[in-house]
Amino acid sequence: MHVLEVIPSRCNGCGICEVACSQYCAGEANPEKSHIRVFRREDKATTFPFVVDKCDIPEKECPWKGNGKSCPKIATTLLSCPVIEEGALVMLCRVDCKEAACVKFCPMQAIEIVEEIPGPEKEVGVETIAESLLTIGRK
Amino acid sequence: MSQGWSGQILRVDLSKMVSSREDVMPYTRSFIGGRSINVKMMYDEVAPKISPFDPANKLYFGPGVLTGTLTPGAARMKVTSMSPNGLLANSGIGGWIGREIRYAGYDNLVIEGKADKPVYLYIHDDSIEFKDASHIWSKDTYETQQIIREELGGPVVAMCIGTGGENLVSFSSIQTETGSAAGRGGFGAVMGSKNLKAIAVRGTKGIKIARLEEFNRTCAEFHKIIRESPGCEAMVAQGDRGVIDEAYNSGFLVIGNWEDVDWLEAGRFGGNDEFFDQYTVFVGGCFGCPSYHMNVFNIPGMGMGKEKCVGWVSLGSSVWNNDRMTMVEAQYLCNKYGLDIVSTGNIIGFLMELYNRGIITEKDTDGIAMKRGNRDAIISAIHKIGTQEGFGGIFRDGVLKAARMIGKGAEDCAMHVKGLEMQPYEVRAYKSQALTTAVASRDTIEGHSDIDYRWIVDGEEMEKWAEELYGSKAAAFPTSYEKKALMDWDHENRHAVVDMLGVCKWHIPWFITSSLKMPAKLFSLATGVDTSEEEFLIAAQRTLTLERAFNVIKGIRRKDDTLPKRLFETAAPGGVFKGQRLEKEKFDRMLDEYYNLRGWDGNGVPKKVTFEKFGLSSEWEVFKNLAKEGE
Repeated sequence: MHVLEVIPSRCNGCGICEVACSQYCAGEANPEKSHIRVFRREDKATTFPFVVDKCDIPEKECPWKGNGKSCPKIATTLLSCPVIEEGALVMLCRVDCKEAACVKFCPMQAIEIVEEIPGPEKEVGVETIAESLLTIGRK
Repeated sequence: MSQGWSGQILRVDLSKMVSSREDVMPYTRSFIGGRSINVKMMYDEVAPKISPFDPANKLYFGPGVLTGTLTPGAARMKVTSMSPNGLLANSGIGGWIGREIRYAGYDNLVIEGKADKPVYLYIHDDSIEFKDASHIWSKDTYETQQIIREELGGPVVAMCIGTGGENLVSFSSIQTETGSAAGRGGFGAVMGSKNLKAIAVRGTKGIKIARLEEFNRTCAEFHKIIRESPGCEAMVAQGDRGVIDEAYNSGFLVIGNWEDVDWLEAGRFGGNDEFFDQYTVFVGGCFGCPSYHMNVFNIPGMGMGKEKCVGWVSLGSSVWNNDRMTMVEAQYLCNKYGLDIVSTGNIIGFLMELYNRGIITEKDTDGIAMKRGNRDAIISAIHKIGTQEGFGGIFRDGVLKAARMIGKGAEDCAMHVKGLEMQPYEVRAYKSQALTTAVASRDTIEGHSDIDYRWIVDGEEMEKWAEELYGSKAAAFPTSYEKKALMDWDHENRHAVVDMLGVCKWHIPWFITSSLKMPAKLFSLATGVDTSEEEFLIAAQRTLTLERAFNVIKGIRRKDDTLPKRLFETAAPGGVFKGQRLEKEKFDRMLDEYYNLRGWDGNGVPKKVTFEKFGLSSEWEVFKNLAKEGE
């Protein structure tokens, strides 16, 4: 189990973390089975990785499903584990993985292992998350 | 369940609106994957006598065996088809589309027939849907992808055509994301001729790896080697524009329509400047790239988009343009219209030369003066070509046919090889680049070496490479004709291997290493089929034999393996290689050497013994009769 700090401003969306995770932890090259996914929209200046967790957000509260869009399975993690700090997202990857392959393979150093598990989760509203997903930029 | 390979070829018939699946394994022994399987299928299935826009022409998409795995730069896919110039060609595309096709469970994808009305294809693992595309027909490539993503939801990856392909412009591209395209070869037009606007893919099946732990370890090692190499450091630090400095200093940068070599303005295109500080959002690449080198810009009023090296040349120095904003705007426009940047820049440079010489005036170009470097001229020409309005219409079939229509000596200014606009390489001094451009089934970038090209900046190292690989330092000297046929033959083979595996050429055989040992090892670990570097090189030659055979059937012979006469008759007017030109006799000798290495006869026709050597006896039977018809 690792506590990961994701620094969106460093991520360039390449997606190697997804395949690293799935090859090390799920036994095949398959982003769908990765515990980290990258949200990538080149045309919207938005690209950053998320730890994926079980989705338990009711449809009407989810910024994706609620708008008739499909769920990229990322907002859940933000709700369930991260603490949004200045320019970084701290997330808990609950997988028992020795390698932290996502960290090792990221060429941008956009994912780092944090020593301590952060304190109680902050209350983060769905709107804040949706906004941060779409507006986190590099500048 | 196959390992390494996904196991299936998906065949989609747009006329009948049906799809079917075939086992890929019978192809893998001799043709391994990616481009080579594309070529083998095309050789067997497409009658050379048909026209490129006949519904019987087919589009083959071939991600490589390693595409989508943890292998560094495993993002590539090759598209193969009969190009609008009538020849078999390949064109590579990066981004994330190749891996998605692999994750959906397919090694290769074949599109045949023609839809009655505009459609797009949605491949979601085993489910294949033909979706109406009337609402996205005539939309640009950025908007098309956005609409498709919204319609389908989820992390769908799409590739599509713009109005270029819809209008059957012979150099139109297939586009994915904002800046990745199968640009060369005009396959956007082939897609357009089939009424196919886009292919959207969502794959969740993944790729199984035979010896996973060792594969992972080897990938980690390879990533590390690349990241720590000087080549990677340079790419990351400078982005794609780094190659401009290098090309300019090496006398390799094309200026105008191959009219100059040392236009001083071009010398300042390469480095950092305020433009990058102001507009770069991040530096990205394709899937899984440790040597990311493409700037992603966000420009007010123009939006987001990714640059590629070729844009800085084809829409910069090739059109006498020294304004960054114009270069980027022009790149965006080409990408949105789905036009190949290389061909488009070539045509604008051609128009500027004609204007400069007085062969055309404003009256011939809808009132727009095609003055060198003029912003309006560049931007308007792209709009006209992309929409096929006004003078853009005469360029639908490329620069050569347009030049013939214009007359008045314009044909001498058409810089093309076998009807395809030339890649912007100043090859007069660079004999190996000249040779591979002349002989390739498409153009130089499919097979050229970087050894001579990097000699000016990294002489000692390149001479060492040349000596190790080709037994002579001379192979590294740009102006020497010695060992050039051998170097080209070898590099084309290596490129073909890389195209079977779906990894990026910027790592192998270019800037990081030319050795195939690492990819061969990764292939063996992924598939469980032990295959040596030598076996790969045999498969590469087998593929290149079939590519040539198809084009020989189409009538290609020695007479076509040449370059525009300007490069033989006019010396480079300046730069480090001032005075260099191609010498016909020496060029011909190089050509003989090359044919000999390939096992082709003096007229460039593959011999029976060559077919037999590569286990292509049944292919020979087809070839021997059809090739006579092509004479």
